[in-house]
Parts: sequence; C-alpha cells; structure tokens
Amino acid sequence: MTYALECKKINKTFGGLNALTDINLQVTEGEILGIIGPNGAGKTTLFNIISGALPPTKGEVFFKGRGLSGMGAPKICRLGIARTYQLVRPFHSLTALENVLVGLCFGRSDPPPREARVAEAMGILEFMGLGGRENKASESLTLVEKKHLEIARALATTPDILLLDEVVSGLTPTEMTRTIDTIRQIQTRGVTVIMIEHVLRVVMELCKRIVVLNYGVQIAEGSPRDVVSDPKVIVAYLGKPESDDKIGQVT
Amino acid sequence: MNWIQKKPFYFIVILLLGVLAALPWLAVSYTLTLVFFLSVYLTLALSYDIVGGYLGYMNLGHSTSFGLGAYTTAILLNHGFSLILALGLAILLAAAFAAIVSYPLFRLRGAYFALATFGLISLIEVVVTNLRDLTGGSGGISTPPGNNLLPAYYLAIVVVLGTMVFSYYLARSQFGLALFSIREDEEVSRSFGVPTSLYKCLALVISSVPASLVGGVYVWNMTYISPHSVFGLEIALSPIVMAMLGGTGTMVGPVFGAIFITLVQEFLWTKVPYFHLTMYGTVLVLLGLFMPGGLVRTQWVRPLVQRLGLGEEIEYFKKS
Repeated sequence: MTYALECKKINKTFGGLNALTDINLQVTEGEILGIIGPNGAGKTTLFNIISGALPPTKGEVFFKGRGLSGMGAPKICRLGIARTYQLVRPFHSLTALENVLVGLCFGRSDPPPREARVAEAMGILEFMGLGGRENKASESLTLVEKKHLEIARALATTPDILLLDEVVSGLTPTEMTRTIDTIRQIQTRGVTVIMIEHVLRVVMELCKRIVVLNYGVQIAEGSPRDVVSDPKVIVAYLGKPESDDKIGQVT
Repeated sequence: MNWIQKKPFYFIVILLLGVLAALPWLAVSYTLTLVFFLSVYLTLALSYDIVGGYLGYMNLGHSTSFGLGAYTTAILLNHGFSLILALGLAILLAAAFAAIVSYPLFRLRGAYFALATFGLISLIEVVVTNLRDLTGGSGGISTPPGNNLLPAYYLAIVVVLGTMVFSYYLARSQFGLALFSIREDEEVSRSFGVPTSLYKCLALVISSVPASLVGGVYVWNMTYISPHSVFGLEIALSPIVMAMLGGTGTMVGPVFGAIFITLVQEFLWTKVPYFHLTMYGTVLVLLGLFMPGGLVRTQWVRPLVQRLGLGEEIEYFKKS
C-alpha cells in the first residue's frame, strides 16, 4: 500500500543534540493525523524535514511512494506538500491577496492562467473568511486573520498534504470551533492533514489517529482515547507522580 | 485606476517629454549636462533598487556594473567598434559578470552581503588599474574625441525612461511578486515554491543591464574615464542614497530621490565642493531616524503618488 506520506527512520541531529530519533510514520490518504508532545519534542523539526526546509541526518521521507531526499523546499511544495508556521510568517508588507497569490503562482505544478488568478485567490480567501480583507497589508491583520491567511496561502498551492503547525494556539473557543470546521471542510476536499497541536480538544475532535513525540522519540501512537490515557504520555506531559496517585485515569 | 482621473497625469508627462526633447534649444549646454547626469544617476538608482529594494539585498557594489560597462565600451570604441556594438558587448560582459558573481555572493545575507558587494568594487577597481595595457591603468582611458553631448543626452533620456518603464512593469509582474516575497521572508518564499536561487541571480543580472548600458553612454559622452571616476565612492553611493531617500521598493522612489538630491547638489556644489559625501552620510542618518520608508511613504507625498496610480505595486493581477 502506498501511503500519502511515509517517514522512514527519520533522524535529525543538531551538533550534539538529537532532535529526532528513528521516527517512522505512515499517513494514509485523506486522514487527519495529529502530532502531539511537549514543547521541544521535535514536532516542528519534523515538519521542517517533511517540507524540505531541513534535510534529515538519516532516513528519508516518501511522498506517494516517491523519495524526497535531496529535493529542495520549492520542488517539494510543487509536488503537493504545503505547510503553515507555528509563529505566523506572512509576507509582511504584501497584502493578504498578494500572500495567497505567491502560493498560487509558484506553489503549483500547473498554475492557472493569468486572468483567472485573482478570482481564484479571492475564492480561497473567502473560503478562509478573509473576504473583505484582501487588500490589507498582512502585517496589519489580527492574529486569527493571520492564522487563516497562513492556511489560505498553503491551500493556494493545491496541496495533497497540508501540514498545520499549531493553527489554533492563541484563538478563542469560538474561533477554534470555526477553525475546526474549516479543517474538516479541507479534508472533505481530499487534502490529507497532519496537524501539530497542543489543544487536546481540537485533536480529539478532528484526529482519528495521534502520534506522540517526546524528546524526539515516538512514545505512543493510536486513537485519541488510547493515547491520552497512555501512562507514558501522561508522564511526558505531567512528569512522574510523587505519591501513588493513580495514573491512567482520564477525567 | 480611472482613465478620466489619469488625464492630467498623462498631460503632464507629455509636456515633460516635450520639454526634455526640446531642451537643447531651450537651454544652455550646462543644463543639458545636468539633465544628462541626472539621467545617469537615476538609471543607476532604479537599477540598484531591483536588487536593493525589490529583492531586499543591499547591493552596495552596484556601480561595478557601471564601471565595467564604461570601461568595456571605452576599450571597444578605441578598437573601432561602433557605439551600438560596443554598448551591446559591454552589457553582455557586465551581465555575465553579475551571473558568475551571484553564486558566491547570494550565499550571504544582510550586512555580510552588503559588505561583500561593496568590497567587489575595490576588487574590480584594482584589477582594472593593473590591466594597464588594456585599460590605461590609473591614468584612465580616453575614447575617440568628439562632442557627443547632444546624441548622448537623448540616449541617456531614452535609457532612463526605458528603465523607469521596465521597473514599473517589473513591480507589477509575477517575477516582481516573487522578488518581494524573497525580501519579506526568503525561507517561507522557498517553501511556497519560489525558486529563490535562480531568481536572485536573475535579479542581479537584470539590474546590471541598465547600469552597464548607462556606463557606456557616460564614457561616450565624457570621452575620458579613470578608475576613480567610475569605481569611486561618489558614483557608488549617490544612486543608493537617492533610492533610499526617495523610497526603496518602488519605481517612483528613486525618481523622487534622484531629483531631490540633484537639486540640492546644484545649490551646494558651487559653495562647498567636497560636501557631497558628508551630505550623503547625514541624509542616511536622518532618513533612518525620521523617514525610514523614504520620501514617497511620508504622509505628504504618499497621497500624491497613489492618486497618480503609481502606488500599488501589484496591479498586474487586477487586470481582469
């Protein structure tokens, strides 16, 4: 079976630091996979490797069966992998429309004809709720608008795989609900989603499967309920209990 | 942009072009020379801005293209080449040099890139000075004498207008959008498919073309250049100060800056001869403190620019 994305024995070291050790992931087409773990676990580093921003020290990423080693980020984007950034990184002095246009013109292997581009970019902006804001400089947008712009820009590249890095952090509960709906709609359009998230509510609602990283190592994998009650996961997030408080109890 | 609103703008432009075309009959040769120099500096400022403003890499070594263009043209003219051929080959040489040198240079960022490109000027100046048999060394090189002021004036006007038009359309093109995205965030730009290494090299090569061309026109008019006159601090820094004063990243910015500084120099020139470099330094400091975006982004000038339809950088895509 060819997975949409497969990571085979991904290792990444920075000098003496093992950021990732033997990561093996298989992502089926059309699923929403969650990646959770404490801060510093290596989740964003994994995204950097998948998207081609960083090369792995060992191991290889396979996209629809095709090895990505040696390919630069531009080519990987055009193949169909797009990402957002945890700390939003829009093209600051460009407008929201221009941000999306960058993805639309350069991130696709077959960009639409010139006359159709603005209309299509507007469609994506409207889908993400940025309808009237297209001519605002992206640095002047609110945080939630910037986060939606991140997603819009990534969607503009018509990705097969969308890497979402903590898209709901800093959002109010209402905004979160809206974003959850939007991600579901993205999934129905045939996009495979891999999301790094800290907000468990979002992960539980959207992901059928979760992978847990801690200190660069995969410590658990499975359905949300299983993972959240896994003692290893609880210890990773909360530390070892000092008394004999029962671990394994999810309230 | 409303066509009706643009009518007065077009009228002014045509009037201006008319005045420029008729200037040899309206003014003395000093004025012609002044406009000639303004055109040369403005061309350099505009072409600098493609890498310095659009791409966001401060190419302090931009005058290298100018000097290479000037010297190549001078040498070829002395060997009997026609002006057109000499200019054409000068452009090719400067462009090839830019292409080659872009590989090591663009591995650097920010201040390191600026310093390395600045060092390039001195490097080329030393090379040129030492190739005495070819270039006449530190004594400079003369081209076949003749009063070329009139045709050189028109040629310079054509070059600067062409560069303005090119710069305008570049900012509104897909390639221009890519350059802006590299300036804003190069790593993110790559992750959205922009072939950054290729485009950076292209930008440098493109910016070398007007610079080398105007260098050739310059030497044809002056009939003499020395390493100092084409590789010195004055010619290296003035276009950059002009672009920054007017506002980098736009087509009109360098225009404002060049006109402003040329006018100021005209008043200071006869009074304090060596004041120029001091003035540039002062301008840069004041600019950083009070007007970081340059003249065109101030609240006084910006509305005017936008009313003329010259403000929005990316209009290309709205033509549907």
